[in-house]
Amino acid sequence: MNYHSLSFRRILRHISCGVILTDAAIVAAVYILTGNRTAVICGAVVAAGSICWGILLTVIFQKKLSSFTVEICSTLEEMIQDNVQEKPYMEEETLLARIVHRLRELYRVMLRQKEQNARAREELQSLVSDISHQTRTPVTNLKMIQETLQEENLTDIERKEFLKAQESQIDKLDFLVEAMVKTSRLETGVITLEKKTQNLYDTLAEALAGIFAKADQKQMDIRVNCPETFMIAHDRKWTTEAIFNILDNAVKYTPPGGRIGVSVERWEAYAKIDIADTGKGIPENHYALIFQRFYREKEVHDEDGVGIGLYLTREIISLQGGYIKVSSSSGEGTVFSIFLPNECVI
Amino acid sequence: MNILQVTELKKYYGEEPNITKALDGVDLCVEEGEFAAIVGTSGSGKSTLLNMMGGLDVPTSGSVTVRGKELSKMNDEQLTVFRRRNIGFIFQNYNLIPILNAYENIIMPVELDGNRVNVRYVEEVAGLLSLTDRLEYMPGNLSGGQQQRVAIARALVSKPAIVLADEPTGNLDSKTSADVIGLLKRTCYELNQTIVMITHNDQIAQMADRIIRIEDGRITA
Repeated sequence: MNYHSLSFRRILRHISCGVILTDAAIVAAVYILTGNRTAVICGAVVAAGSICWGILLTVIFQKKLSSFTVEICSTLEEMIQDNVQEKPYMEEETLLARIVHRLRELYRVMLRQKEQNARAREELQSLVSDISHQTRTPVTNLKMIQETLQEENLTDIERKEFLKAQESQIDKLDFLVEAMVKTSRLETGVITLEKKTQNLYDTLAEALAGIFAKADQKQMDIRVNCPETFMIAHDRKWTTEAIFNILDNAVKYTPPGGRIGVSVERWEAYAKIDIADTGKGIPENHYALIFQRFYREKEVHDEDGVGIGLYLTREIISLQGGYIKVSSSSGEGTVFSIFLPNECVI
Repeated sequence: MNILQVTELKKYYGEEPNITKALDGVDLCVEEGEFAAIVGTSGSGKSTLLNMMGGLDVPTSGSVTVRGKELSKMNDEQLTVFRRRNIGFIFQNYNLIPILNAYENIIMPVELDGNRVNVRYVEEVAGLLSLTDRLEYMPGNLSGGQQQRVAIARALVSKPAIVLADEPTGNLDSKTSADVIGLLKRTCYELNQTIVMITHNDQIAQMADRIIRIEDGRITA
């Protein structure tokens, strides 16, 4: 039987017919069995009484049901019109309050998704504008150098100097483009990190290989404290990139003869990778800033760099369900701690 | 979108001239999805503030609005239901029920509200908090950090508007604290939950998106 298409009225009609017929049958049966009129009258009165109460119950029930439906419909209507009103019955232990509460939750989830989409679009826009802004300077410089080089009355020495300047600008542009391709890929979700359970020791070694030459030039002491087999789920290529960025900063901003220490420790939920240097340190109120895209400390503007390394690092780590922390004391050095979850749950 | 708004909140104890001003005009906004830490020394009024936010205490003046509802305008009964549906609490001493196992503890608030438990959601939360293989354990057989994670799962499972955590790592050593807060942060990020956490530990506070400092009943930064 199709309950959905059965109207309430029709059900009522059928059931009341059924009740009256049953009552009549019982009264008739009583009369046939006893032949007593008083009993029959009493029976009929009882039946009539219960039918009346039954009708009353049904009417009240119908009223309640329709007011329930009206409330739900009006809540839905408000949601459609984006104008949700406070309801006086929200904090009651009723079915209605519970359902409306759930509906509101649904509404909020949808609002949030809308907001998230808007934010993602904004993020993308700001990325595009950042990229165009950042590439403009080296490109303008290159143009100027190019124009100067085209002038004929240049001495050989001058020409060489300009070519050198050109090379450094090209390097900068190259680095920028590379960094930005990485960022945009990560941000737009083109890349999905592949977490595999593998040895972190090898990943660390790969990251360290990238800085050895530079560190050697500055006569820095690098110490690594990590068990030779330390299995943890992570994406090797990108985690290497993340760790390398921190190490690269450590080498860059630590004076010659300084120390860099890398240590790995397993905690219950996370594995901690500490990268400590003996550089100049970062003031506490800059802790949050250094992870922003294209942020650079004012004092280090003469050093190479575009301010994207730490930003990338944080993205990579948080995409793997981890987080990154920094603690530093001015003049004594900085410790970056990367936390990677031991279990792969995402 | 503001999920929690505190305006001109005052809480005075006693009467003039021996008046104690636990909170002296606090204004605060917490946005949806934010992880805010309230930091202050003991006696600065941070616990009082959290209790007011959760409707556990009545302010002398001012208002607390959660999801557009002003808490002081509700009676006790309404407040109880409102809290159960909209506010998740995490306490320093976990407050797990010792005779129920971890899973039963987690689903308690859902069952109290008379809803059917969404097993998949519970499993997701438990997974995010690395509790999957601990669900059958009794609280007594779990470490402090694990117990606190169970308490966090319990606070999150009814999808409250806001989670209030009162010194959640007060009983834990520094490693476990960082572990627990790391998981709390990630879980809330994944589920887009809003958290307000009290702590006196700067290391822990640093993991929040925003640090609110309170001193002598006033917000300083």
